[in-house]
Amino acid sequence: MAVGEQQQPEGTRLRRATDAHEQPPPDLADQHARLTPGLKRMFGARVTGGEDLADDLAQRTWMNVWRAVSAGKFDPTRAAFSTFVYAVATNVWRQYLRDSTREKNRDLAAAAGEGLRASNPTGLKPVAEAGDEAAALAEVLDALRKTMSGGDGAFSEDERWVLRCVADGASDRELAKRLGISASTANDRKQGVFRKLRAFLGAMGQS
Amino acid sequence: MTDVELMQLLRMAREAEEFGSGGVPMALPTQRRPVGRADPYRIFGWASAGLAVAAALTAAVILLRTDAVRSDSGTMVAGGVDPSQNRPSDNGVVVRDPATGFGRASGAGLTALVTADVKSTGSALPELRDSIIVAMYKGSDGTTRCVRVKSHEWDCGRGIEDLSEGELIGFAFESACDSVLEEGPESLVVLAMSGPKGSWSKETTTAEAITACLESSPEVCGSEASCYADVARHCLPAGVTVRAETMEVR
Repeated sequence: MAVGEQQQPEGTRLRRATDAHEQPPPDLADQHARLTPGLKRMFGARVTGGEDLADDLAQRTWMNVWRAVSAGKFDPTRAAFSTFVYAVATNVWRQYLRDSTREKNRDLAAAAGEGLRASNPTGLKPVAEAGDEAAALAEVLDALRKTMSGGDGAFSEDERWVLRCVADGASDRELAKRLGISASTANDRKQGVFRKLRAFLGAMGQS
Repeated sequence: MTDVELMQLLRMAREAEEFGSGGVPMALPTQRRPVGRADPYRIFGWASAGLAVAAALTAAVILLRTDAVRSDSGTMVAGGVDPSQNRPSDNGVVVRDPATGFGRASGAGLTALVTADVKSTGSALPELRDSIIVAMYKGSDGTTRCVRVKSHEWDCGRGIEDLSEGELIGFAFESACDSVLEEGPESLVVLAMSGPKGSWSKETTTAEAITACLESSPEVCGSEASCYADVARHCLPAGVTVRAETMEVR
């Protein structure tokens, strides 16, 4: 990449990359319009770099989504499209965190007189790798969504309630308070549900 | 897979659900502070945190004492349902009148909470309830210009009774009607309704029914949240809790 391009703000570079990329297939256009505001809000709530950075991350997500869909990585029978986009967004966010950390380390290394290492400026992974990762994550997340809502009947209502509480971040003490039992009993109950969940995920090939 | 990994996956599944329904997921892995050398700011931060913990502990002791006095005097749990925990209280009686039970009416722009016929289930677990939020944007002539609806699952047994002031309005703005906002609506009415599982057949049908019911009511509610909650309650099946918030947009 030329030096001039490297000095461009990240947003400009990504916008150009998006413009250059082929238009989304018609059936994705609706999804794009529906999910983009949520993506921007999601990233906006996490970044300190302002609206532009949130926009860039949302664009980066869609670029990865389109690449993965074009490469046939999204299978609608395995996960909902919104879950797939969420999974891609999760990967994009993690990649952004990794890149930020790497850049900080690079600055520190540069300050200490060490050589610079090349980084990946767009944060894009090879399509096959990124798409497979997101598809697998989306499948697991969708299975968990169904489990918590009782759609698959694999868990009892009580077990689903515990799972939802844990998903909401409830601690053992909070579970205990809501159930009117001791924290250790609540933990036992949670561990029982976790054992079942592990077996459930194991059957899906996730361990 | 460790407990932590399982918990992370469960949280992500919940967020994916929120994301798919147009809500705002809030807990992707957050940006961690880079590990670095201790600096004076950090030392000052730890010292401040220590002082804050000490102050919080002192406050907690005082509050616990106050709570104990309140519980003894019976003002926290009115009977039938413990609104602070969204679960039946031990005596299991039926609360009927919202105005005299824990129903709470307030003035314009504030929140109103009305409960109809909430009955104890006697279950060991907090009762599972389905909730739905309907946001109505009204024009200057009082007609409803745009309605947004979404079903909502409250955090782990948390009910609409536990919402803080203004929280419903926040929900409404998450999925605001952009076109109507540009026009400049006169007011915003948000209703949150929570009923036993399976109370709502279809989101849009429920929203249409509630809107039609409010529109056809002879009562002119203006910006009185309690009025909307009360009118809506009469359109809803028994056992449904209604909470309303209104906001003047201009």
